[in-house]
Amino acid sequence: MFVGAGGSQQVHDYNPGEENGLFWTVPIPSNSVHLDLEDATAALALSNFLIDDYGSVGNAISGGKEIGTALLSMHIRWGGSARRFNVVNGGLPTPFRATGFTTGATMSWSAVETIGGVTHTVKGEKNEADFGLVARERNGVFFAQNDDDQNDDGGNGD
Amino acid sequence: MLDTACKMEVVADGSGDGSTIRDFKGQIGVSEFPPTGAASDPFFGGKFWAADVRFMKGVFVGRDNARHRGTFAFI
Repeated sequence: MFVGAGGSQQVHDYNPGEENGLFWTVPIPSNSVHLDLEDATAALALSNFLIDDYGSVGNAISGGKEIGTALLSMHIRWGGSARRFNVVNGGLPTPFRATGFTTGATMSWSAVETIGGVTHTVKGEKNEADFGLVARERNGVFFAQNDDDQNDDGGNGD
Repeated sequence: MLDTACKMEVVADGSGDGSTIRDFKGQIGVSEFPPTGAASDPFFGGKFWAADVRFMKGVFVGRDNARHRGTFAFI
């Protein structure tokens, strides 16, 4: 979140950190995500998800301490303006291939945050993404795999 | 500690691998929101928000070299 237009004067940076060995990536309940690739639509919903606030990206990336903790709720919908794509890149250290759709997306969120013992609510009103995609992907050891087992790619949750 | 492999290639404009989990196959969603969203912040007075949020739902190879099924979000 920023005080200034265009992304200046950042005051909040919500991310889950890297303590689990992943870069700002955390497990979430399988029913938080719904994707219909035939319709090029998807949704992600999280409610009261515990997350740190590092204040700024710079502080987060440089290993700084969090300024507060928050219960984050968000809702993202992918859909509209669908364009099919198929990409294969075998030249990366982790090669990947993906097929799906670029789409529009909308998101709104709120966070109940405690900073210095004071709890308050921060809200992000609904906004449109400037980029979205939904896809089926394979990377790394699965890159060269040819089978397309629908039951083995996330369709049945975890 | 999760038995997952991590990946540091995060491509901001979605032109690269959208997954932040490597040795992964499954469903992904990527969304990039510009710093134009209206926000209300009684603590610091923030007025705008931006975000890069992704999901990955599928099968991955963990640090134990075994396959696992999971759902993840990059926030």
